[in-house]
Amino acid sequence: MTASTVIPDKELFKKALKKYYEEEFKPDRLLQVISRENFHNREFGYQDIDKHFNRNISFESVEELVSFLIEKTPTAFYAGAVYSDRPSKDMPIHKLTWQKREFVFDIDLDMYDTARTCGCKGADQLCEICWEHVKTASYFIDDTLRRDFGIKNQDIQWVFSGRRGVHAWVKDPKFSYFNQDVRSAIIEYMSLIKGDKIILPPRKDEMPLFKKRVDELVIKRFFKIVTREDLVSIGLSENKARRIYADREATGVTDFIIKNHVFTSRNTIAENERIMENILKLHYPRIDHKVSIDLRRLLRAPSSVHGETGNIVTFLTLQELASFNPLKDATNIMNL
Amino acid sequence: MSELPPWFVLQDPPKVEIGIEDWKTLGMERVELLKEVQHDIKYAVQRYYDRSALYNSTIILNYIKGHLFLRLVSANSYKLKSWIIEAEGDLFAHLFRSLAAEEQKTIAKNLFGAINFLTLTRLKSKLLLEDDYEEQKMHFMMYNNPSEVWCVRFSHVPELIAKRRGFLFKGWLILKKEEFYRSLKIAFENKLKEEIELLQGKVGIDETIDSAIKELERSLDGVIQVKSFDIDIDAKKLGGKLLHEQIEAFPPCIRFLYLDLETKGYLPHNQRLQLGWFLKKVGMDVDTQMHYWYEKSVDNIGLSYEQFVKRIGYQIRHIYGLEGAKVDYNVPKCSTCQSDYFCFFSHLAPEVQESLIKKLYSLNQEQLTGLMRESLQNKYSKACNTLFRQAYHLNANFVHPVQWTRRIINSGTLGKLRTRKESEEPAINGDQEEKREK
Repeated sequence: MTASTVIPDKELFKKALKKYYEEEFKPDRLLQVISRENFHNREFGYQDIDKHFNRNISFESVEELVSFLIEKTPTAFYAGAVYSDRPSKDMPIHKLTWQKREFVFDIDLDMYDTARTCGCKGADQLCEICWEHVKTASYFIDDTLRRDFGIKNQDIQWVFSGRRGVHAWVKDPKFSYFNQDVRSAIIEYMSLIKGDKIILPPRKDEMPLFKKRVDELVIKRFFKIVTREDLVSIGLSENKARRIYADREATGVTDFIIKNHVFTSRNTIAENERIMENILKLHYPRIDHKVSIDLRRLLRAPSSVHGETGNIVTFLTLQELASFNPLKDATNIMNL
Repeated sequence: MSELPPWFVLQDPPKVEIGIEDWKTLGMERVELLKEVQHDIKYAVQRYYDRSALYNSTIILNYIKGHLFLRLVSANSYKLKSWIIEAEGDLFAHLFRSLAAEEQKTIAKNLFGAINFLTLTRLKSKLLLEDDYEEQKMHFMMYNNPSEVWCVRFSHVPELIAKRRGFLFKGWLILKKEEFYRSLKIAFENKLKEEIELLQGKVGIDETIDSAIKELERSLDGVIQVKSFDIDIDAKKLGGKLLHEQIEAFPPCIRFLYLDLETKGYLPHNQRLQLGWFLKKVGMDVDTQMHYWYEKSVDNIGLSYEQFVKRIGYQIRHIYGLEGAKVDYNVPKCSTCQSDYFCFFSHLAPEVQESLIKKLYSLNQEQLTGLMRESLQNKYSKACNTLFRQAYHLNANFVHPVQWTRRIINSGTLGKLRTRKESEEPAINGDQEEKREK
């Protein structure tokens, strides 16, 4: 368990930020997820070194944005929606007509506090075990977006958020125009956890793709990462837990193990459902729906710096995410 | 492809000349037709759309002309606009069901957009180029009768996507066509609303037309009334609490919206209105409601209360008839909630319904099974009435959400109900518990 937060010396941090924005910052990365179209009408926001939050800002051009970053050295920088006109202090966004904003998913470990059995808690702690939750959620969302919603591979961009989570930016322009109802429907479609309620996945004959995804990307991955204590906590006997643990070491998690040691035909339907509920409770993806649904929300900009950690908000492919360890692999501006 | 049926009002308007007085008369006749639709739709369709009318192009053309005049009138009147959209929506849904399969497809293409609608055969040939189609091909075999299945782009049927209905593949929702009927009605009403809003700038161009519009609008003011269900109750029956705080006396639709807002901090537009109207009807004043939405909604992050009032206040005052057309709107009746707003039984997935009923009401397994059977058979109003009867042991025969609450209050059982429920009220999540503690 490691604290992910670095609180650097304020002056040193400011210098490092300036150097980063002058020498390393790549606006092209940002422009890969937000379109250049009507760039001047897009809202931006930032937090300064004294933690003052500012929004209703817009830039005529990308060059103006870069100059602004160098001059102000914000500790956090956000991109918002595109409006009918340029947002400014005199013309704030609530006076303008919303036009579009990218569809974004936010997976953050603070939503997993009740599911993290490794001992990590809150915003500042994470470890390799709890990071697996983030990976599972990413694989699940990516697969759902591609297969069910028909988004092309190249139109999903994964981004390390700089601390304890990842974002997925949907680059398909059609999605940027979706209203709250459509965005909310997509989130609802993926969600099996509603507050403290767990909804069992649909049957294979009803929704074959969805069921297979839950089996392959949630259930199987759960058995790959859990401890013996976790196996007992989901309702398996000590004996079964020991056997699964031993088999996992020998052969990995196979369908045979799951079918014969977990959801066995000797169990009643209710018993199997209870086990399924417990697994989902511990490992099913949790999505911060507000980030996806709220059309005017500001989103942490790729290539910006996370002000609490000094980490750069970095692009990742799904393959890179598989081996990414935020504690070792994050790029920190203090080390540049 | 077959043509749109002549009665379908959302097609290019006919190019005809008509005197303003005649046009106004046809508008008034359309109002009579729509009033009949709201009163008894089967009778209205038999009377106005029998075979002799459907095959008489003059009659149908007059209906269309009358409808077009009402669009102009309603462009200036929020109250009339809501009424027309609701009544025309009901009429459309009824007439649509009696169409032949090809005509239904033509209308579906018109409302969803031709590029967003495919037959199963067309979709299969389109998907042949997709990488993982081969792997999923076997799943298409489950549709024994492809002609009974429609494929619609997911973004046009969010209400079905949220409920995980059908087979969603590569952005196409594949489902029995009957399951799309409700979405089509919503699409019809949305398109009609857009058409009416397009006319808002057109009024004021011709004085003769304007005065005819004003005249019809005035004459309709007293005709189209939204019945009030304001609850007049003895304060003693509330045991010192305000009625709008008595969540346990709210119908399941409103109770769910209330809890859903607490959990998510967001409700879709129509659901916001439904909850806002209901809270008004059970006595929440405009200022309290202003604070309520400020506290619950996620849209106001970073806004001060004053900024929030400036930005959102208009919408909340509108709920109270203090802005716009200044109409004291009522909560929609159950059938309208089922089609256009939110109904617990019609819009939630059965498993969610079941688990929430278990938590919120003391029903035994047999009662629950019977109730869920009604819900699964799409008998939503019946299921809601059954739930009321079994949960409160009171007679039920209501058609409006406010009647649920009024019946509980009038029966004098609220005190007992509160005692039983206070300890059982479930938390939707940890956040909610936290909010309550605060």
